[in-house]
Parts: sequence; C-alpha cells; structure tokens
Amino acid sequence: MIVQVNQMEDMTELLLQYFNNTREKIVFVDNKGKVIAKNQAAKDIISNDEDYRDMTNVICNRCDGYTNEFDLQSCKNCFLEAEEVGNTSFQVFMKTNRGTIEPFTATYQTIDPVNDIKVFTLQNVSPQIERHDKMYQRKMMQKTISAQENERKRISRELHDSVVQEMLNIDVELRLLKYQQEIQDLVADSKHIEGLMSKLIDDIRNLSVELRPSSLDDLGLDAAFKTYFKQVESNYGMEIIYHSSLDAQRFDNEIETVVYRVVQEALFNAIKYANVDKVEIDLHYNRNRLIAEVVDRGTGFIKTDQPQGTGLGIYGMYERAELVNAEVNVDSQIGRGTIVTLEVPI
Amino acid sequence: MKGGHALGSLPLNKKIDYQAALNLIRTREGFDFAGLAFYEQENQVSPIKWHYVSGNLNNRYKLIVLRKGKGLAGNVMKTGKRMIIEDVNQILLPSEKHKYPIVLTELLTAMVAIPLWYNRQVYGVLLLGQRDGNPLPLAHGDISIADVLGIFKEED
Repeated sequence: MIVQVNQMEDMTELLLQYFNNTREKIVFVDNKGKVIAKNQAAKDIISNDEDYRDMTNVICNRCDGYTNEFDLQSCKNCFLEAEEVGNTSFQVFMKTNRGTIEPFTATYQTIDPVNDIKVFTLQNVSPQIERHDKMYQRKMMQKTISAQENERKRISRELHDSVVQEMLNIDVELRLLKYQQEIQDLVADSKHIEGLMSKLIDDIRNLSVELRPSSLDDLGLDAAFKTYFKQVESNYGMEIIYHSSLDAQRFDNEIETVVYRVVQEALFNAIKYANVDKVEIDLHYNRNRLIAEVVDRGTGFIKTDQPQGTGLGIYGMYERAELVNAEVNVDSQIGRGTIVTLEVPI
Repeated sequence: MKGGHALGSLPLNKKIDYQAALNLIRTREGFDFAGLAFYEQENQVSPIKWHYVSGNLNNRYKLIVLRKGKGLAGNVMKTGKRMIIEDVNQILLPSEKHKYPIVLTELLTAMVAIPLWYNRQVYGVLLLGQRDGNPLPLAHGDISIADVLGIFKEED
C-alpha cells in the first residue's frame, strides 16, 4: 500500500511517530560522534544518565565488533570509519544497559553531507541468530550421532564377520580334530588351526589398533604413526613418506591424541579423494610448537564447495584442534594438491 | 570343510604365463583393467596380493595386502562366487569405497571378479574392470576363463 503524502506536515508527523514508536533503535550522531538525538527504543543501548561528553564516539563505546569477512566480531575496517559499510545493512554486536551483548542488524548512513550528520539504526536479531545456532547445532548433532552409529555398526560387523566367523571356523576344526586317527592328519590339521588362530589374532589386533593404538599411549606419536602408516600402505596401496624429528619425545596425552587423529583424518581424506600414490607427512617440534603437515599433490578441492563426503571430517579436525588451542590450516588448490597443517602450542 | 593345506599340490605359478593370459583376456573381452590376486603362501590364512595386472594406471597394487574376507579379492576368495558391480557409485557408498583399495587405486567404475577354483579351493581371483563409467561388455555374463586359465574352474 502506498500512502500519498501531500503535505509536508503530514510527513513530519508520520516520521515523528515512526521515530517515537518503532522498536528499531535510531541514533543521530554529529561529525564528532556525539549523540544529537535518539529515540525511545535506543535507550536500551545508550542511556540518558550516562555522561558522554568526553567520549570520542558513543557508538564505539557500546559496540562489541561487527561481522565482516575477517571475524564474527571484528573491529577491522570499522564501519564508523569505512564508507562502503554504511551503504548496506550489516551485523553488529552491542552492549545493552542490561549488561548483555546482543546481535543487531545495523545501518550507518550519512543523511546530511554538509554537516556530516549520520544516522545509526539497530534491529535486534537475537531470536533469529539463536534459531540459526540451534539449527546448526542440531544438524551437527545429527551428523555426529549418525557417524557414531556408523562406527558402531562397522565395529559390530567387523566382530561378527571376521572374529566370530573365524572362531566358529576354529571351533569346527577342533571338533573334527577329535576324530583324526592318523598322526599325520592330526599334525596337518593342527597346523591349519594354528594358521587360523594367527589370522584371528591379526584381525583382532588390527581392529584394536584402528580403534585406538595402544602404542600411542605407551610409546608416543612417532611409534604409533609408524605402525599406522605401515597399515595404511598395505590396506590402501598408498605410499607414505614420513619424516619426524620427534624420536621418542612425549607430549600431553590430550595433545598426542589430537595430533594423531587430525593427521589420520587428513591422510584418510587424501586416500579417498586426492587420487595420488603417495602422501608426505612431516612432524616436527619448533619453538614451542608441535607442527604436523600432511601433503598430497593430488586433485585438490575448493573449500567453499559442497563437501564430497559428510563434511564432518574437516569439522572434526577443527573441533579437535580447538581442544588443545591448536590451529588447523587447510590449503588446497585444484590440480595442485592439498596441505593440511596442524600447529599445537606446547 | 577341509583345511587349506591342499593348495600346495601343484606349482601352478610356474606353469602358466599369467601375464600373457591376463593381457589376452583383458583385450579380448574389452576391459580397461585386469588383475590376478593369489594367496602369498599356499594356505588360506596367508595374505592375498595382486600378483599380475594389465592396463594398470600405477604400481600401487603392489602395496595392497588383503586377507580372506577383506577387499574385493578377499571377498571373492571367501564366497567363491563371481562378483559383479555394474556401477561402483551406485553400489558402494563413498564411505565403503575404501574397503576395496583396488577400486580406488585404479579408479574403477565397474567390474567383474571371478573366483579361480582349483582342487576344491579358491586359489585366486581374476578381476576385470572398467574406468570412466564405461559399461561392462554386454557379454560379461559369458566371460569364460576356460581357454586362457583353463587349469582353473569358476565353480567347485
């Protein structure tokens, strides 16, 4: 519906009503950043009783950063100074008088270029952000639960298909053994059972190493990686070129686990997606930082594209790294390959 | 069932030119890749490896070590039945592909794996595969190993 405004008084009246009754917070500032007018709604953010006379910019005082390409709450390229930000709405975090920090959709525009008067408007978007967070959380939770369930399925199947099968096999062979009269047959069958047993032991050992290598706890990263890479070579036909300057150096159990799992995930991604015949893995300790690098010269990928898998792998790497204040950096170029770097402060 | 120790009765490896047989069957049947897997030693608990290949992209097959029940060859060794996958992307979930390393290393998109029976045991596996979504040859149901690998049978 378009309301035709003929009289200037009508317009002023309407604007005034809007200004006074809207829940949108409206603040006018002069060229020094001082508040020259604000509406009732804006009192949540900028109250009357505070003395702002000595402040350079009132907005800045209540602002907790805005969302830009650098961060969720950033002061880089501050919108109060940058011209280009003001032309569109953006998201900003403001301190309220209740002491909370809440997200708002904001605009910051010059309305009077001659006197350099600006208007700053705010609309609270907490419910939307909360909803968004909840949706994201739920999505990640669903993925985590399904990953957990799949892992259980895999272990259960592994136990059922290989371990139980082999044990049944041995069981039958043992029963038959009772009836062997000839010593030669007895020896031959015993040897066969011996073979079955050693395969079974191998199977269980592999399963156990896959779940969590005891060598990681007993001997440390270097030893655990050597065993794991050997397994990867024969399981996936992938050559692993491994360099480490750690030797038997030990770190916190938590850190070792994070390094092991992040490298494992990065390597597994290379196996699944990179289409290469070798992967280089480098582990070194330098100036109080433990650095692990997984390098493949394969197909590479575009980070912003929809992931080929669930996307949970990379998410998990970041989550794990955060546990020990470490940083994961994934650098990938189409046709050039991928480098995953993990840096753990010690 | 009887133990695996009956396998050693013939020095099969030395009597047949497996490489020539493999090249022949691959080109004749119109496949991109062919491979032959055998047990490392003459018993069924020993590791399984790809011993001969034809039309391979790389030498990663040499690194792959399987067990009975594991991987493509290991599965066919266990079941003793022909295994046909007409479209890898339809049959295998992305999370399952890595269970068949030869599919990953040779980028296979369709394949036929045939058990090689000898003396009532599965002695090896013949794998014939396609890449780039090439369909299996129409006559893949009739592929016979009788003339080139005649010492083996496909069934017990």
